[in-house]
Amino acid sequence: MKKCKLVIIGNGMVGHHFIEQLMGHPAAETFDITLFSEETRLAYDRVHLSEYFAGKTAADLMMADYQQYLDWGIHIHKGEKVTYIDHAERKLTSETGKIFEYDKLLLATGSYPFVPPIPGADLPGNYVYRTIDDLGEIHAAARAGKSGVVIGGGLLGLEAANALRELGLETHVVEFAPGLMSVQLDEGGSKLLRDKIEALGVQVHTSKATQKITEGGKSAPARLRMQFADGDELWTDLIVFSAGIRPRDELAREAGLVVGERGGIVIDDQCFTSDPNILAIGECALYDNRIFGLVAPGYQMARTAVGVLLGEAAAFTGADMSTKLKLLGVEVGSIGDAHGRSEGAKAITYLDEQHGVYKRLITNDAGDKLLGAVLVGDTGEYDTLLQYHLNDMDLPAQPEALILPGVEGVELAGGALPDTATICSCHNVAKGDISAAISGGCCSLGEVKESTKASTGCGGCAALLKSVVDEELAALGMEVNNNLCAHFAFTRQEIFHQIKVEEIRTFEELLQKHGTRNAAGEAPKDGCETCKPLVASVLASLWNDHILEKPHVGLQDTNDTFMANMQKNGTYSVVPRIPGGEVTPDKLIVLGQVAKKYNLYTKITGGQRVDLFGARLEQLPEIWRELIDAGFETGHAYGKSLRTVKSCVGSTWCRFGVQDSVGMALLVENRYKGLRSPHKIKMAVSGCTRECAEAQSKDIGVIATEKGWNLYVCGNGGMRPRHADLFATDLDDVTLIRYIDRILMFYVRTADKLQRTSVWLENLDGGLEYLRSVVIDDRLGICDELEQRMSHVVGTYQCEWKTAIEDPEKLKRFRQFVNSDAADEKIRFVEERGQPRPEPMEA
Amino acid sequence: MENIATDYSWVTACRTDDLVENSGICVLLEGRQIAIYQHGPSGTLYAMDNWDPIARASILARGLLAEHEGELYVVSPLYKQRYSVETGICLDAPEHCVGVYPVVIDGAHIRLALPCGVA
Repeated sequence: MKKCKLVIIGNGMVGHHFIEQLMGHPAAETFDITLFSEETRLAYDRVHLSEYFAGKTAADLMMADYQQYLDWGIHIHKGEKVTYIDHAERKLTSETGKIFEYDKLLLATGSYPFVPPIPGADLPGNYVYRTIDDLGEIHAAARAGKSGVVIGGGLLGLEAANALRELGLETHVVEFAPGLMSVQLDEGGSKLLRDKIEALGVQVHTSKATQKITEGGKSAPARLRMQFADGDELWTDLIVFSAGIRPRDELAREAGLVVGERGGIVIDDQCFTSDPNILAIGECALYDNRIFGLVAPGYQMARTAVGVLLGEAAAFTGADMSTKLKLLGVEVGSIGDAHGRSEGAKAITYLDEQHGVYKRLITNDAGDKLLGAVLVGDTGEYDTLLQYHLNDMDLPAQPEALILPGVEGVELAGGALPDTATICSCHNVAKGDISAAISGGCCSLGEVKESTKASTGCGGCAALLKSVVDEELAALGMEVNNNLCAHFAFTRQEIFHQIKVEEIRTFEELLQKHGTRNAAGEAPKDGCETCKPLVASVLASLWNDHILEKPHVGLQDTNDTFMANMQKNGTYSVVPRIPGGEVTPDKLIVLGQVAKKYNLYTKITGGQRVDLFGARLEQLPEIWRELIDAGFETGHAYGKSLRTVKSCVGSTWCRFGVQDSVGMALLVENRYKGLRSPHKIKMAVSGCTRECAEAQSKDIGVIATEKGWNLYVCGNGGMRPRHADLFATDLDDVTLIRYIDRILMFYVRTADKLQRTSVWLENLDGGLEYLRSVVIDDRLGICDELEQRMSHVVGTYQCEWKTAIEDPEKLKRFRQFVNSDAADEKIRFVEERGQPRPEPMEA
Repeated sequence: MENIATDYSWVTACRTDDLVENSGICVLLEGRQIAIYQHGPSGTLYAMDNWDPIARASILARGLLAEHEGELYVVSPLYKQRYSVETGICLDAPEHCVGVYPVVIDGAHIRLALPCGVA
């Protein structure tokens, strides 16, 4: 079969989404795809562009994966501009002069930043805010300057202002209109937003028309002078234009396709342009005389175009432009007709100047439908209001209850929504999709998220999603049972609390006080493999007794009991701690000598240590005596506790390093070694942004910056990889350690059994923002206590092996046979590649 | 205890102070590895083969002792199958069964009954 030659021009977020959606379809192989991208980078996340200044790298922002595109068989022309389309011949020419034929052509050329025709707008020091390269230039210019101006007080302008502020510049916003964000906000909302932004030190100038920009001389107060129509002037070192976008329609225009009066390639509801072989999507397209300058409508167009090309029924019929976001730390939400311009529209307004909250509902004349809303300072009700608006639901009798504080019982529950209601707009997940996922076997919020992707984009729908999932589960008669096991009807967090508050010291005591009683009212006599190790871990987290103390011995899993990792033939592997991966030649020689003497298989681990395999139970104490004499400590490879802190060599050796990453890794590893936690913990410290220690795949990741350290949290490698979240930037040593203390103790205290930090964070209500508020703002007032607990654990650290080999009672356990010195004859080794390995088992 | 041979002889296995409360130890008797567990404050003893037929390793003495609905069992350290300490039957795969042995305290010593003819 002859394949359909599909050429795509443009690889922004929308173009990328189109490719992803198309490739997810089995019929994708009937297309032979060629892609042109003017930028040398493939698609990246422009929505989160300002995070580039908060420590994210270009790589972090990438969405498209070059290798993946190649695997999909796409012919990629990066950094190659298309210069001409001959739509009659279905051919196009690129800037290299080459000619390409197509059957279908998709235009996803996006938009460009509008720079008003002001004399001097082309002088050095003027920038736009659109691409990673733009940001790189702004970043470089900011180093040499003290102040910066953003021209444009819209959504993107305020994003840009935030970026300038983060770069440490005195920041000004200059807006032509009388208010900020005049598209999304009414006057009241706009005014409050202005007050809040000004309180942050950003200077806002509205109703200002810039007439001229000139260069200052050598003795001028700054590099550039802006002159306004009203005679005022403003000196600044750099100017960022963010005065709106204009569609990139020049190719279509030259080709003779129909374009709008004020630009934009005209499309119909199937995304076809005036040529039935050419489609256009995203910000270059004009539908119903509107440009849709948000990513969600662009994605809708992309999905429509995919459907149309595959011959499915699909249509784009306009999009809701409601938005919720955080600008300069201020929550802002805008729904539907925010200005109340519809006929007969009535407004209900709430203003709290004390706390800086403004909320306004726009209803129809009858007051029973929500036409629009504005929220500034608190967008808590956004999800609920949006659902009322999108689904045309009847408002409660007193709609003001929806925005008044302290009025209970008006929270919209998921059950009230129709199946078609969109819960997650980032991934276009409707309530019906969630019901289907649950009928299909998902039994928890986490599983629903994984299966549907709902709430994994901006996360704004988290609360609504949880309510829908809970109600759907309840509707199916599933009880959400959080009981630990038959012996304890509590969660790990509750057990932690009981042990802490009542200062319970042993499993026996906990069983007596809180174990599930039988019909006769008796406490259970014993626990099981679920509760025993869990309680042992909590007791260790809180009181830090030696795990082989008499009351705790029987609680441990075998690896903790023998402080080594059992391997498949019943022998153990031994991993001494090598903090930060730094080891002296003498200590390395000792490892080799010990391995040789006991004939141990030797392997370098992924965590920059050495693992010695094949030790018999009775050999463990002798092996450890030799290791401890050489200065080694236990590596806790067997425990649910801190494993390794990986590091790169950092500024002491590396020409790129900006901080001493090995020094920090040693500090961190020596501080948290021995901390018992709900699951294992891995950390890493990188000496510069090149990130050679792979800190962003660790529970705690630290990356050096020129000013200090960026802290990443809750990453994971392994079976379920998760990129760590940037928690805080440019921390000094003391603050870094303080935050890690608090985060780890909060994790130890609140996580579920065997829950890694990645899953813990995903299940934490409020997610990263909540964790920040607990750890940085001390929202729960527990930071002092968390630090004290950590301080106790650090202060009572002991090398478990050192204590064990000095205690004959504890050593008694390390005997294969208590009545004989014989070795287990079942353990046999063969040699492979010059080392021992277990003898293969007969089938 | 039907799977225990009727002809057996009592032998001394180890001393009482070799035992570990709420956990297991292992003895070598006439070439056979046997795990002995001491359960709870009552000190009830159980003896069972040390060989885990599923993991194919001598490890049951190092398993965690656990209880559920009155049944006491050992969780094998490698693949976590549960073996009843009363019957030796694997609760997760009843086609597997390990030997169990009568065991008593005799003064300072632990004595255990081995089936006759075990070499």
